[in-house]
Amino acid sequence: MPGEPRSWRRKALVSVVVGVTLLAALGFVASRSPDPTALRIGLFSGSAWGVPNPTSNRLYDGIIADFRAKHPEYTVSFRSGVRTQDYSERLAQDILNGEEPDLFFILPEDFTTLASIGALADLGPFLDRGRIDPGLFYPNALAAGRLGETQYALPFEVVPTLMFMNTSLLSRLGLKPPPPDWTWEDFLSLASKATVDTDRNGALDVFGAVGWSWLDAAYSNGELLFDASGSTATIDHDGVIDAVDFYLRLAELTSGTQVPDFESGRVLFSPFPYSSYRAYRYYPYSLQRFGDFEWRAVPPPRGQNGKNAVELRVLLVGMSRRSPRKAAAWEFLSHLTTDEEAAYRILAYSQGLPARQGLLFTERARSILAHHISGGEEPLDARMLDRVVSDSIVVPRFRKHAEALELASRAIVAERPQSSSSLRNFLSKVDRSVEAVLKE
Amino acid sequence: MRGFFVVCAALLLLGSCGKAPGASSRRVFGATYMTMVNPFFVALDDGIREIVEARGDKLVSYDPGSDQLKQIDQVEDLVRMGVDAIFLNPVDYHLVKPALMAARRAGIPVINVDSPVYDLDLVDCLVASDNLRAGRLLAEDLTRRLGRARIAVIDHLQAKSAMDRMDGFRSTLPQGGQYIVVSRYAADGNIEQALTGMEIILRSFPRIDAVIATNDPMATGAIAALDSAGLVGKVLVYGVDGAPYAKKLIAEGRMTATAAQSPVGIGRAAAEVAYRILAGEQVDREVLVPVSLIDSSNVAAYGVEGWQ
Repeated sequence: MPGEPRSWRRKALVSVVVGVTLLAALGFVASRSPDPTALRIGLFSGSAWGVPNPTSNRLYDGIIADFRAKHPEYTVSFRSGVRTQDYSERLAQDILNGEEPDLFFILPEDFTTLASIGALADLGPFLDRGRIDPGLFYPNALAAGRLGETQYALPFEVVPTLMFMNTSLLSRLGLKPPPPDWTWEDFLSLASKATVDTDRNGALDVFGAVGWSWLDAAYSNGELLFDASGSTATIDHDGVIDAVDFYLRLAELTSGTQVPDFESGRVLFSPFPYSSYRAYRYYPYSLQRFGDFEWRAVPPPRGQNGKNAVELRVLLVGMSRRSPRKAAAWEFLSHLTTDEEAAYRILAYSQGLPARQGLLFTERARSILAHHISGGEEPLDARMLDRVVSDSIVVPRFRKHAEALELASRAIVAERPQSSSSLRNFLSKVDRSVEAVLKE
Repeated sequence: MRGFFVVCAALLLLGSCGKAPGASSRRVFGATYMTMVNPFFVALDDGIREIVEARGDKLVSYDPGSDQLKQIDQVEDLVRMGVDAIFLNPVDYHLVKPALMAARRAGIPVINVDSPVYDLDLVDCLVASDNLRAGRLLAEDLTRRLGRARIAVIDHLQAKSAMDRMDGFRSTLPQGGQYIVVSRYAADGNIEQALTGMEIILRSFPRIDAVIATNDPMATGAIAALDSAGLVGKVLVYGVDGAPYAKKLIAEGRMTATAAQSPVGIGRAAAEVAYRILAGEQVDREVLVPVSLIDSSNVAAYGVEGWQ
């Protein structure tokens, strides 16, 4: 039959086409279906804290290598080399393109946005399975990864604020260092004695303080300025009024004068993050910043109702809500944030402190922090450091926090009311305008 | 769709209004430098960015943190993005070759900045300081100050720029045994490794007269070790870069001199070269930017704030 071969060939061709199509389709599906063990993470190169960190590769590569040794079934990849200042934009672009990593580091200023828009998975169900003890973390650091009642991220690294003190200037002026639990009044007294026209030319040439803001005053008086939900401002509370009053009294010492930076060597006190201490108190960077005067770090002074601590900055890690590899992502997230070796790597190769508490007291931590400290100093007292971290404030997390704070700061710094009674009225007015923004 | 708009809102809230690289008509350039911990490369990146952004274009910069494999990944990432040109400062002048090949295969021009790659035929142009001259300047200054010297060298064997500086230095030193390099440590251009290296050198050679470091971060690392040993001011310390912190150390009497480069100038020149290549113009294979010596006699004129 002449028609049979053609028919056979046509059938064969159709079969091949269908087969190839099916195979291609299967291949396509296979290539699209995610490998549950091929984890992608989002991280940046360098430091989260704006200080030089030549060892960030050793920190993250080391942690990933430890994880892979424990879990050879997983692979971990990341886009390398994204600078910290570009990181938020690259992460946002990845989210826009639906290509965000399974797990990503979250800079402090990005958390609220990422949690509010639903980019982050709720970690509650994972935590409920009990494989991580939340008690491992500093409670305030853990709270930094929470929005409302939901835990969206876990803390990796923390940076408290310390007060830097120019001890060369302190000695030159014949002043005694403050005790560790010093108060605002101690601070004001020392700052006042250090704001002097030493060469008697009619202009101040050394100064008591620079950089201490009204927010530092409020936080060190235990005031958060907003309720947890961000619906109410508390800027008219007595504790905030006392804080702003103190801030204005301190500012009054140098009224009308441009106060130089702490690095000039002509200022007694200035608040700095612990990361600056870790970078610039240690060789080799100790030579690059503060130059030719002696200085050390002490806890910040406290208000009547507060503690010797101000704001805590927290580097968090969260999981993408859309990740198809949540089990693997959770394994790695647990490792990153709770593994003891990872915490020691943070101490050795970063300029922050591990969010996992308790390790600062170990001999190994002391040995790491004693290495290459400049000027033959002892590392900071572990109890002091631990207390400052524990007592530090994590600011409330809500969407309009930055906007509300900027509005209040602009008003307070610009207007500076003079009397106590006018201060109360003024802060009530600021409180009302901030609340109007919160309710918009 | 709702989710898409939510993520767009995220972009706005995170301060990002830019389109994905390569997705618009404006040009997108890529850059990767040995390590952005060295402020020299931050300044060089600023120089490129200044020109690129003035034309309304975009620069995507990566930091390999002195890891050659990461730098190769980064160039491959830039190739995938379809950037118009790549500015590259190699971590290792030999081992960077796969990155150059990837760019060549994709037809993307590469402008090699600061430190030359070994395979110069795979790049479109080299824009760098006159590194031989930088080394000569250091040798001339050392021989003016000391009639004889035991010298420690803190070097960087993966960087051709550093090797050229050492060639310039060695070829200018008088022969005859008055100037002896007693020890040499390869610190990969890194401030921390230079600190460790100098500590090791001082254990074997506690009495040296001069340290020659082939960049300022390594000179600073050496000074940190000398400071710890109480030797600052007793040993001459030379670097190369003219970094603001190095000029401050010179003004304070803790460092002797630096052969100053202009990273911002290198960056601007490299960006101009890139635009000329993209416009189809012929460019020179090599653009050399002059260097000068800064010591205590002229540091005030240069100023300690910013780069020259």
